[in-house]
Amino acid sequence: MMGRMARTGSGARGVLASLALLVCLTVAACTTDQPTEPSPSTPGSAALRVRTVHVAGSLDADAQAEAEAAVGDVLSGYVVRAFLGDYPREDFVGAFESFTGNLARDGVRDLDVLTANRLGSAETVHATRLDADLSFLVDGSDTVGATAAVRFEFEATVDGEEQPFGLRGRLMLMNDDDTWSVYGYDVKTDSGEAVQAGVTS
Amino acid sequence: MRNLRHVVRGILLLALMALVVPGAAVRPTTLSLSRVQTAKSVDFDDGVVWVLVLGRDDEDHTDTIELLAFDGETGAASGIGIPRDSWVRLPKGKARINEAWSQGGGEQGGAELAARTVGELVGVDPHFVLVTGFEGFLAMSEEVGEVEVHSPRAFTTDQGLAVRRGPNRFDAEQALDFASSRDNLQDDFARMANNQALLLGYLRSLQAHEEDKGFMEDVTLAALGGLETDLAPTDLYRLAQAVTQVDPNRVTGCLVTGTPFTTGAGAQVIRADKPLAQRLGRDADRDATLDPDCQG
Repeated sequence: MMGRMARTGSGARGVLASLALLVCLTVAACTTDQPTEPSPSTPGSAALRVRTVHVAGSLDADAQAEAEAAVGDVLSGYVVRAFLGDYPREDFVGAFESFTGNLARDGVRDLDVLTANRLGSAETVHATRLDADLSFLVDGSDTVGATAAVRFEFEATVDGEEQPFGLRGRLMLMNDDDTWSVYGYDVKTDSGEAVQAGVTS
Repeated sequence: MRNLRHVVRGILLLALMALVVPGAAVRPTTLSLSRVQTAKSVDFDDGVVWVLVLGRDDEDHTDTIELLAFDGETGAASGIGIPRDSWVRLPKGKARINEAWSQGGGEQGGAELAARTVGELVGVDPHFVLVTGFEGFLAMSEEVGEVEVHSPRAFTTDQGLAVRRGPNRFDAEQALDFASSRDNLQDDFARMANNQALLLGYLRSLQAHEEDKGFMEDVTLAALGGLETDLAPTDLYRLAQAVTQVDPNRVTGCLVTGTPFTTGAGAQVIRADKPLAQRLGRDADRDATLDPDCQG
């Protein structure tokens, strides 16, 4: 199902919401260092693995689990809208729903790096690896923000050919009154666009 | 967006094959290359952001007064150094500008008076004020780790550290010694230039480690403890991340100069060149850059 369904428009929004929920459910069960098995309902697609690798300040186990889940929700929503869904598709700008205002503007500018926009004509896209290592900043009892060191890998089917691509780097998140949003990114993507070059030896 | 395109696979291998397989039959080989693109952005403030950085001594004199401008969008940044001995009007009468913070009562009141006083001199209103004392500076520096500083000159610090012209590596204590030393310098402008060199060194250190997991969080936590600021923790965190967008090759620094004179009470002070200060302020306010000749 994940990466292989629905379209644009309101129907597609419903599907994307379902996909986000599905990834979220996976994330909620994934607050340890152990990778989570792919959901049975997403055959062939990796689940998002979120783990806390560093806490600056002090965070008890419950608060850490809560923060991981909240950040996981944001990341899963982004991954689904930016890379998965039903292909071919065009609605990649929706990926920035959890980005702050100015960052969403920059995200549109960087659409080809931050989403699978360039592969919108693919037949399918599915995730092969979705890892996020979280570093939290805690001031007293307030979880101020986090950096997610992400490594997302995907495989697109384009003209019947498998084409791997990925995104890695950092997503910066802040917590404002228990609402988490992405305020920064520093990422690179392997575009997956093969460049054929002839060489004689 | 920084769009960097790299050939990431195959080239070295094929080059090696071409070199080590002499006499191989001439036949076409197909390379499958891919493109890597990068993107970086931090949502802080639009346009040029002005930050007043004050370093105070144990007597609450802010002997380091640096007005920094940066533009995260363009990666440009500049620093305007203000002489601590600038003779200005404060609520209790004429005094050195480095007394503004303490005359304002320190903390929020001191920051506001210092910002207003520097703002009047340079003609811009700082958006944020960051104040640190020796202990706060050391705590933050220790978190960042060793810093490489390109000293504008060779000299011996007040603690006897031999600094060479060009690159030097300092730990936290040495960095503080470098920043605060004045005994063996020609004048206080030389110390101000050293402070700018140190800030640039810390910028490079931040950028060198920003991808280390937890580094920016640890540095920000140290800053939360080591800085006195009206910035909310979330905003300080974002500011720290935003600063890493600055391109060290697009950083310029200038000093507000002035004319030394002795007051009626015998204090040796400086009449700061206000027209120059305001030209520099206008210059940096446009795009966070300064003319290399520092004439505004």
